[in-house]
Amino acid sequence: MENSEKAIEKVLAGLRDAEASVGMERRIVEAVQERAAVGSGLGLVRWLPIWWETQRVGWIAGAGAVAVFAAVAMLYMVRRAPDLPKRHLVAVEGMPSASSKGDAGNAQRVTPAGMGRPEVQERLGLSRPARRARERVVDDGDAVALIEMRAASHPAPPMPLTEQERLLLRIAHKGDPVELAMLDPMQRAARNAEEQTEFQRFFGAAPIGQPTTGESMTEPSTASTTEQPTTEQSPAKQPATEQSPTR
Amino acid sequence: MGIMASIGECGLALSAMESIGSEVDLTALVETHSALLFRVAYSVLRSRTEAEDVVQDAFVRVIEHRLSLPGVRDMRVWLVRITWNLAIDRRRRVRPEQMDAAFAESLVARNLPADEAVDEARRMTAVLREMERLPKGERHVLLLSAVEELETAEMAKVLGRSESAVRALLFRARTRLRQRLEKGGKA
Repeated sequence: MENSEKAIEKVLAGLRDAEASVGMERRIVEAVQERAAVGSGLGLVRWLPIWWETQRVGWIAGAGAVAVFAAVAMLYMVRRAPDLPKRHLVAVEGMPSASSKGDAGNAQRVTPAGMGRPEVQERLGLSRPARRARERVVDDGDAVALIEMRAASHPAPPMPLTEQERLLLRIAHKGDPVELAMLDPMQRAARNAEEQTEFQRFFGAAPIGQPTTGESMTEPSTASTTEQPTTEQSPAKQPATEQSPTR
Repeated sequence: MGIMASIGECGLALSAMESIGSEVDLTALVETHSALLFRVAYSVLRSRTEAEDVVQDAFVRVIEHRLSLPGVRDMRVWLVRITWNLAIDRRRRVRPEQMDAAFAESLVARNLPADEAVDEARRMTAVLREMERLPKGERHVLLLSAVEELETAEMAKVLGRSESAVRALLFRARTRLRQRLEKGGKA
């Protein structure tokens, strides 16, 4: 009983006797002042109603002045707004007129960027009336889009050849008619069929082991024709046979 | 919740006040009340660093509501109430077990032998643990009563209870804590 009471008292005394670290007050004052300076925006929001009560008249007048100034500025901007597209005027040439009210006969002129500017056209020698006659001011986005849509399109650049195309090109430029003809599968098939037919016609009729009629006719003739010279040329062949052992 | 209540109180005071823009002597306020506020925060947090941060936050609140200060009747109670609520909020965010262990070790006398010092530290830790297990109202009254500078009426204002309720809660807290410690913390 006494032990627990002592323990409780000791703990409560420890809580009671806790001492702050040295310099806590100074640190707190500095930190609070710093945070007050940094967080003045948040404080401003909280104090706004009070501040509004005190400064009401002056700030109503100020707000009125700001509103008048803003209205004047907006009026100025609204009046300037129609002039803005003229800075981006596009003159079209060789194209039908994009504006509905312009006459269709008058060709409009498309000039590169900056060519529509007066100083550039003066440098090119175009007088002001001529410029006015030639130019059609395109002041809305639809007309500009229409002009861009109607503008002449350029062909796409050629694609690079594939490996097979380059090979074909090399063969074609060689100019061999047989090779060129062999590229055609129909002709190649016809050629193969013809060769096979010739082969069959030549070898297919004679049985194996017997000479054909062509052979029997040609061999004796060649033998008869060559018989005579062999007898005559035999002495000439002799030295060759005799010389062979010497080698 | 308590902080919001005090801020709302400031708002009510704000509408009633006539003189606006009174300056607060921050340095005087800090010198007068910082020690008390530190002990209030320390009784909850048991950490010097955390308690100092809480006191600092309390004075930041003072600066934020300085225009409503004339409507505050008892500056001391108002400050203690802000600090108390800030400390309770902070204790929910920090790890109180580590702080309690360090605090229990700091309570042990340095000239004790090692084994006795360990026993004493365990006993202090058990007391702190049982204090935390007390019902909320009893625990708060007990902790505030540890700061002996506060009277019962001031404690009642800080906790938003009547004086008799504070006395009853304090009595029940001490009794319950003693019983639980005698039972070895098993109750």
